[in-house]
Amino acid sequence: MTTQARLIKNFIAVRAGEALRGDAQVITPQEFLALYDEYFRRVYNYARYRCGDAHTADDLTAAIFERAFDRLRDFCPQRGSFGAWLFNIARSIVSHHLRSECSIRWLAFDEVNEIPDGSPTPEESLISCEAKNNLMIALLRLSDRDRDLLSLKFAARLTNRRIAEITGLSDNHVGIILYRAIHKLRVVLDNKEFRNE
Amino acid sequence: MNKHSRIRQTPVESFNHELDRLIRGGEVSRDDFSPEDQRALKLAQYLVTTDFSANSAIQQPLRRRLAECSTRYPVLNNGLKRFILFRDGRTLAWTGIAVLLLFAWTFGLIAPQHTSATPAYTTVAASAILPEKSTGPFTVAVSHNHDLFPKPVPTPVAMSASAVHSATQPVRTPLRVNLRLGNQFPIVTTTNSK
Repeated sequence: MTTQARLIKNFIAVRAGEALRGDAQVITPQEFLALYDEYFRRVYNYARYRCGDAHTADDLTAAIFERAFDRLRDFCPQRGSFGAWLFNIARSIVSHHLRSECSIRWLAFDEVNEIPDGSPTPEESLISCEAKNNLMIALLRLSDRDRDLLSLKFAARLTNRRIAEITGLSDNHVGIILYRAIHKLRVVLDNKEFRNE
Repeated sequence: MNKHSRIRQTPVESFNHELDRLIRGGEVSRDDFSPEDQRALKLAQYLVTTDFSANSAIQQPLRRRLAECSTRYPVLNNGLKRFILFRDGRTLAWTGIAVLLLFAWTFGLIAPQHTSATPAYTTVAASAILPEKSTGPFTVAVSHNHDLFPKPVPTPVAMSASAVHSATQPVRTPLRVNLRLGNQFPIVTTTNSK
């Protein structure tokens, strides 16, 4: 049984018990930490895709998990999956951060010199690092909505239906926006002027 | 996907179907996309496989912090935190409790002013040497120190220049006795509290 399934089972049992006894919900540390391990990569990548900066992504990821931890009691499996609930929180926190930052985002200098992750040769590392930086810069050139949906799709790995639930759009609309956004991103990455910058 | 459903799908739907395959860890299953779409799908594949979290220094420290919090959480949840958090109907309950407390405090239902150690009756004497030709009427008012309006006590109309008057009342300490000549300012004020 997956962690999420266990959590949901436990949650339902606890809620049922609460109704009868008036007891509080009990979330075991192992369950929450297992969820953390399961979702960290997706949440971090989501924050990184949206804000572009590694340090900000660190802070936002911490804020997302802390808020999720505080509000774990509010999670209701009947309303949707844990992932959708978590990314709802993530989206809210990241959007709030971007709004408060007045949306003038800079790519930090240390992004360019970021240590690549475990590539075998220096040449490959350099290419990988450069590709990631180019991707990040290209993502920042898209509109906020396009970047949000691309992040939910590829970083958070949510289906169009889940994205539609979170954003309030229809499934078809999400599909069309994603289709256009990824083509725009490809055009930006293929642009020679962008490469020469 | 069967042949008929594939025919009915628009390019956008087919493209999104492939994206769903990619995010589930699969690969692109069709090669009949336009060149632009194929390049976009390659980019999508790159997006899915790109992981920025590997360089993150926060993963383990954050995990430790959450582990510490989660060990404390059930204790707090079952105790004080559960009670003080404003959830569901608790806001209303807290408001009601606050109103009741305020009401009880206002009308003296709590913080009692009577003490069991206080005797039912106490005597406080107020004496004053009055000016000559002072014939009265005198009034004696007995009050508690915190009473705004002292209650007058019936007194003899004529009193000697040197008057001693005592008031015996069912009182609560501390007690204050005001000896007045007419409506003038109290000649003397005596209290039994130190």
